[in-house]
Amino acid sequence: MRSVLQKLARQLVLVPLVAVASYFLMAMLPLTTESEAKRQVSPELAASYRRDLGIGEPLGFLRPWQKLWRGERLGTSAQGVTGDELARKLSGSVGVGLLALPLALTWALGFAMVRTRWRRGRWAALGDVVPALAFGTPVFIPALLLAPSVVERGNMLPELCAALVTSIWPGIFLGTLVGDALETELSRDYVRTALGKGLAPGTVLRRHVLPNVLPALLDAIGPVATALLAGSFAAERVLGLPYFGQLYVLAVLNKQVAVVVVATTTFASLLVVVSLAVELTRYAVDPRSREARA
Amino acid sequence: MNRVPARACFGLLLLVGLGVLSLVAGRLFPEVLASTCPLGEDPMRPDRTVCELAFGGLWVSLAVGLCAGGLSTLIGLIVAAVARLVGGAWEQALLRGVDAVFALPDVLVVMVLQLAGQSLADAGHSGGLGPFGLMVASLALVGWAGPARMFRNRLATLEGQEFVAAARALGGGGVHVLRVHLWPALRPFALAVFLSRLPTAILTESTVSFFGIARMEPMSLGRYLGTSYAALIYEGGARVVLPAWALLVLLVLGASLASQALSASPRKAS
Amino acid sequence: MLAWVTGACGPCGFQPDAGVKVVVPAMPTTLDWSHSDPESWANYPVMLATQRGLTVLGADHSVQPGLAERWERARDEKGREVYVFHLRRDVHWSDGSLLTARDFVVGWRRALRGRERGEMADLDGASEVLALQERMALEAEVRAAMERVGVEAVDAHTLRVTLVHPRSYFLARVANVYIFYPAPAADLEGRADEEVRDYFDRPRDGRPLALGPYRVESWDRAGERVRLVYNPRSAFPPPMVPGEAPVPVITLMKSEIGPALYERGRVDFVFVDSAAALRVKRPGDLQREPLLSTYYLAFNTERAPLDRPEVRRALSRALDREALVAGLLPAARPSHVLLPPELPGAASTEEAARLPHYEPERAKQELAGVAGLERPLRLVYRSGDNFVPEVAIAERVAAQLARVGVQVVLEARSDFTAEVARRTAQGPRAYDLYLRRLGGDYAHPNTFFTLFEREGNHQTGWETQAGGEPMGRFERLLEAADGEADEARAHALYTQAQEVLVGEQAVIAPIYHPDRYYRARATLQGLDVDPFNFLALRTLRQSTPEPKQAEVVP
Repeated sequence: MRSVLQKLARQLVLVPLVAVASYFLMAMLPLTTESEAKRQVSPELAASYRRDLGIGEPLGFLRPWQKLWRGERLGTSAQGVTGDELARKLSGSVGVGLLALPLALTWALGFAMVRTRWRRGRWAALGDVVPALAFGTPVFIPALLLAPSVVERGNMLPELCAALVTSIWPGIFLGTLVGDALETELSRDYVRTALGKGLAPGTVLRRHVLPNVLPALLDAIGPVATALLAGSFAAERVLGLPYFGQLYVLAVLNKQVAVVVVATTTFASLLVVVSLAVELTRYAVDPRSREARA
Repeated sequence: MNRVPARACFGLLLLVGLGVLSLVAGRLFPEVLASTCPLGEDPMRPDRTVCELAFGGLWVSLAVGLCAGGLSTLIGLIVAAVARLVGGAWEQALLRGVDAVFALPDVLVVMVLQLAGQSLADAGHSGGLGPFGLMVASLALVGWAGPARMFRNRLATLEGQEFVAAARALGGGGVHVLRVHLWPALRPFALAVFLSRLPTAILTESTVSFFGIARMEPMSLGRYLGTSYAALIYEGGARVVLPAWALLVLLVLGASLASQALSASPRKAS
Repeated sequence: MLAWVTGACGPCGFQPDAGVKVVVPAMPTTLDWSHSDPESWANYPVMLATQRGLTVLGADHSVQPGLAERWERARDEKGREVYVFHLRRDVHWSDGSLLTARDFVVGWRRALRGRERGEMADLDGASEVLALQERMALEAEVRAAMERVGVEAVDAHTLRVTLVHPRSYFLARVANVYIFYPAPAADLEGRADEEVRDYFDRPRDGRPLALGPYRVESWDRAGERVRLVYNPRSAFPPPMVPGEAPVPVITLMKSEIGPALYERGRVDFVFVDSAAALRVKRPGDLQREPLLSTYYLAFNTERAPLDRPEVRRALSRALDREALVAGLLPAARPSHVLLPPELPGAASTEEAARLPHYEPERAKQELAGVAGLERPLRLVYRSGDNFVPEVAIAERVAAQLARVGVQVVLEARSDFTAEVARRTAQGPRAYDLYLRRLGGDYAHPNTFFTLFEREGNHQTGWETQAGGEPMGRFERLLEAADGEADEARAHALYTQAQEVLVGEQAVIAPIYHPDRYYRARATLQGLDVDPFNFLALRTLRQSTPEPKQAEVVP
């Protein structure tokens, strides 16, 4: 258990690191306005910007968090958001991500099996082409193809579609990984021994091979979670879903610096939560992870 | 290791072919495409044909990918080499930092960096970086962590081998060993890492451009797709989007084939 | 954090609103009409639907009574113009409270501290308040100066407004420019700044109050949706005939795929701006609104050879406006004058004929042997989607000028505003020519000229021409015209100003008056675009379906 906690502590350092780094990156920037045809550039806008970010104050980098805690609006203009709005948006995105995860696993399993079968036939090249096709297709293209038929329909249809399009590439990626691991494991001696001793192939797969493939799968979950959440940004934008990705993109476009700082940090925290879950799962299912540090 | 595998050959050929094609069609003789494009004119920009825009975009995307991929590979290599040279607790600390950067999603960080760079440019402190330079710099700044991890692990593996131990025993210093003994063994791997960064950089750029955050001028393949997505929902839109999409997929296919084959082959040889 | 996330998860899954859905090109930047925002154009649809001004503009752009039922206009001994507005006594805010003159005083004073306070400069004493704020004076000083500004409540229903100089456009202006709309004094007075911001920008519990037929109920920033609900207490309900009913809910939303959603019946109004949509397949229910707007080519008057008026006039004569816009849009109004023909006081045919228009032979003669034309001129225009087909027009301008021996290189810029303002190391701005659209804020010639005044954002550098004499003359003409109560005399003065700007100095070459295209459901009446390019919701109502006899249960 100690190793899990150690890893968690390492990951947790990431959160304040991101918070402070993004804050100082943003605070360093000059304030610019892109207004047109208007004569005055207001000095109080600059003042409100400095207030919003706590620039020039001791411990100013805590200001966005202070505002968040007090339930005040983050950001300088009417575009600012409060903590509860942020949480509501985040819950929507996480929901889409959670829908996408089983979908990605389904894709992965399906692709791994099909690829193993293709490998021996004349379709072998497809094993390379399909991942390239999945990877080379930015999420917004399938999202746009689906958008006209699902946007403004409600009944979770846009959410499902968003989950579907974001899960394709992570699913195929996982599938390639699992397929490779499966193949390596299947060619090992212990499998031949088990089969030679008369065990059914299904039992061998379940009892001996899968537990050895699982760690490879767990290793890939982190990047896949990142890809799912980042992919949902584009899907949300196209499918008209008012969630965290939309909020983030708009905050960047409107230069709502405090919102960007808080949202980036929230995102990093979310990834820490995911990696904690992965570590706990690994601890539970992989005896090697318990023994290695004992 | 003497023979480059056929898949890598095919991938590299595909990449080089696309590069030459984009150079010839997009840069050298765009007027040929303007008059012969079978897909007709772009509905959003009636003065240009679909082919011109797609191949012109391919050229820009390739340039972004090559520069950003090369730069991030280089940064990764330097970080890994420094980590191995200093060793000990410093190496661990450096690796934690690398892990932290690696954990952040590319798209999100590039968006933040673009925002920062554009604010600086608006205020007149762009430092001579145009939209292209800014994009390459932000992609390189997020993309180095992966290569750094891979190089560091590779170096650790290589250093465990006998010829390195022998060189050390003969009194070879850290830098000497790295330069004379490790680098030649690392070269094909570095190429593979670089090739694996190429499509990632191109795709990240396309997604960020799609959001309208990057101001790439002339248009990259990603920005072209991003700005003409409205064409998808009109009749005949597919002819506009399909070529650009197909080029993107071919680019990724070439790079990933070459990269996989190159990174796998030395491992089997050793 | 998981608990935080799950705790915050309300009704899971996003459900679209019922009611009329309108796709708008941009979301509001603020709902605080007094404080406003420099990107105010995006706020107009909501403000116009929810609020009202002292006056309104009729279909013929004439000034009609609005919140004020009548007014008197006089000059005082100091030469200032004094308006006394008598407010309607039957106008209520959406919570039932009565509109009073105090609401104007509070609203206008807030506007004087807002982000568009420059718009209030005509009020007596406003320039002092603006100057104090400019030099960051003490709060008490600003407040004291504010008390002296020329807006006062004589009694609950009488408002006195004093302008520094007579302004013939003032009545047209208070009808449309929303920072002149009243603000609910009872709700705002005594609140802290942050509370007031929240009052406007986080709509809830029936606030902010409205006077117009609709009220903002909610604003989802990340979802890019504004929900308006019908305000039954409004003194300005949509004009309904039997068989029509008000629309209970309107959702303004942004969507990248608006036209596709309209095709599928999921939204009820959409702007058709994309060249692709107008070119590939022209929908049957496409509607067109001619705008009070002008698209023009501007010259950088500080860079040779464009620093000579005769060269600029010759270039203006080389442009065949008909050919520039032909075939690009379903219809177009090419023009070589600045003021659109629908505008009260637009130039007559004879007056227009005096301005530079297409005369290719004359242009060729005038340009022959002009020194400095050997170098290619740089034409900058805005890149990105726009309802004006800018790329095509820019290319045609280049082709037409090439015919008179002038080379033009095109440059599409996403940072257009910054690029046009950018100066070279030698001093003058870096561009040679730029293309831009100018739209009227209200139906008065004045709104077309302010951009080209010394303080305006025209970036042509023409204030430096001939030692500033033409600019001085131009501003004197405008000053006289703005103060002229007699319409015919004002018209003559504005015509002279246009003559200086477009004819004599040829700072700009007008190209055409743009139109806006849109589609709206046939069951909705009064949902359209106004000549100022704003979505109009004030008169929106829907036809109620005929009750079906068969369904009536006995």
